[in-house]
Amino acid sequence: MHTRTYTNALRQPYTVSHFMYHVRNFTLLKEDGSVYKVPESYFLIDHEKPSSAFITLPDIPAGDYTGVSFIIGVDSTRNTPGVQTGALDPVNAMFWSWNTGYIFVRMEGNSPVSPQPNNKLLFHIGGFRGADNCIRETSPSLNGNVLQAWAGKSPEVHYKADASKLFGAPDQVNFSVLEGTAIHGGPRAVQMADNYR
Amino acid sequence: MFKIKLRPYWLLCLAVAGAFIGCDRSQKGTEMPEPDPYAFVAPANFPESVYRFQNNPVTKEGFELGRMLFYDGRLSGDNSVSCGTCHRQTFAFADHSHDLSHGVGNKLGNRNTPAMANLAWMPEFFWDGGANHLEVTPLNAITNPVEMGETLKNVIDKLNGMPGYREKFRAAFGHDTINSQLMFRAMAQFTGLLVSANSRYDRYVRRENGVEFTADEKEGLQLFTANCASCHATDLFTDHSYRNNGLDSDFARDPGREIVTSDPADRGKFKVPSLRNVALTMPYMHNGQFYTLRRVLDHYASGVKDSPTLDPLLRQNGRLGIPLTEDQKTKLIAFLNTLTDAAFCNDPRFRDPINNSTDQ
Ligand code: HEC
Ligand code: HEC
Repeated sequence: MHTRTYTNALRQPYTVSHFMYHVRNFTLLKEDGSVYKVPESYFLIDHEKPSSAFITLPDIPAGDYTGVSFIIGVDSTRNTPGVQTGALDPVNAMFWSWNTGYIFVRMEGNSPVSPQPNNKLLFHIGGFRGADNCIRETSPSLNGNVLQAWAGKSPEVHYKADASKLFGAPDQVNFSVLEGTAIHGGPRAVQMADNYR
Repeated sequence: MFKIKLRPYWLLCLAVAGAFIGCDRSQKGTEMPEPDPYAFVAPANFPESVYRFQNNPVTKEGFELGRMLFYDGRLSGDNSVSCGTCHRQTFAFADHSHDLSHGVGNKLGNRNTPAMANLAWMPEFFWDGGANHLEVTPLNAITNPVEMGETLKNVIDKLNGMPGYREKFRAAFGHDTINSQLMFRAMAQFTGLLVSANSRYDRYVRRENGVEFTADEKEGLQLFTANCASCHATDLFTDHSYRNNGLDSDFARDPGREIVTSDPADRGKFKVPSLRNVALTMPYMHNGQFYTLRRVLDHYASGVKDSPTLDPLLRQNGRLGIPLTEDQKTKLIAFLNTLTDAAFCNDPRFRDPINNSTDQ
């Protein structure tokens, strides 16, 4: 991951040193139109820890599923009750200490065009209150595939989490200006959150 | 990239086995010796507390563990700075020696170290309200490069490597694998029990032991009620709001509450601080700019700077600030001195257990 070079929508090259995000509340859509909501569970995906990128949803009612949606970001009620454990343990460094709450998507890296010291890029996207809300639901297409979850059969879905999407549309991020290189929540983060919806 | 796997349920017997194991485990749980409750007592003249120790019942073991952590420099990057280095009991847990906080490698912070008292009644913490829960307050100091300069992961690893600490966590919480939640809960048992309500003022309002105020103190209290108590409200001496009291005209150095809310209407607003033990907690204000209470009152009387977010209470009848004569200032100071709680600053329960002294 560290060595590969990517390009954003403005064709500016960059590398990625950290890419982590919180996903939760998977909802499965059945062929007959009914919906199964997986009980609330939080996952922290860290691209440096391959095991974290493999989520098993247990005890799914048998059936054919045609859609999956999930939420990126941590629910407001989990941002306020103090210190939690597991995927929400502040030890994971996805928790702001100067403005209590979780970082939902954390991407750090470098771009030769960045005016920051050492050409750093740092995007900490989070915020659960009012206008700062960066929680987004997403349902990536399964491209017509049906997930057949029946006794003894555990279908898998592979998602490609593309960091470049974060910098693409609708909100293009320009790495050559300061406000496009370091974000700690706030209005810019909200605009970028629309990119991962 | 990440992947999900849907695993349907199909083995009923497995679920039953799970329930059985669960049952067994809870039985074992009840065999654990219950630690003694350590009382959190709300003073009669206080409102209901915000932090109620619901998920974190105070025990003697938990409180003492929290105190040990509070005074342990090993929570910092170079093992030299503890919470107690900045928050000193003799000064009501504020810091005299520096107007801005002073951390690892002699680095200066951006803000003045606030006093600590009655934290269980505070809905939010820090000068800008950036922390929303008592349990998360230590995290900023630990990880801030100009305060303790350590990562949370390293702190937890260090603690897990010390058998003495593992034993204390087991005694307090029933298990000795230390995680951040247990550490922060232990610290909240200590910081939450820092209740200051035994000043002469408290005994006067609770009519205890016939405590009386002098004529100056009584007049000072009246002046305070008339001019200050709309912000420094209730016996906590704060209404927990964020306000601009006119310290600056642009707040370029520290925009305060705006950092947290991203709202320009919050520029220059800071938390109304409690005035408990205020005679001991100099320097004053978020930037430590005043060294005496007299200077603070001079500010309110004639130093208030205008800006778009200045609190309307400090701009009345076309005049900035609160008109105060020198005599009125003297009386206000006499009153503020009654808020000093010597028992709190000398309470042996709150002392540094490692160096066993309140002033070092
Ligand atoms: C380097 C000095 C320093 C150290 C060490 C330090 N603090 Fe603080 N503390 C401060 C400053 C400065 C603030 C105000 C921060 C702000 O407003 O941004 C503060 C604020 C607080 C507050 C909020 C008080 C209020 O009224 O809002 C609490 C609680 C607190 N600290 C607890 C701790 C604990 C627990 C530790 C140890 C883990 C600790 N501090 C270590 C300087 C320090
Ligand atoms: C409009 C609301 C308001 C009024 C009225 C007000 N204050 Fe304050 N006071 C504040 C705020 C806000 C701060 C913190 C400002 C900062 O640090 O930026 C503060 C800080 C202080 C401090 C410093 C405390 C510390 O620990 O640093 C003292 C002392 C004080 N006020 C006393 C008074 C007195 C006495 C009066 C009446 C003459 C008064 N205040 C009236 C809002 C108010």
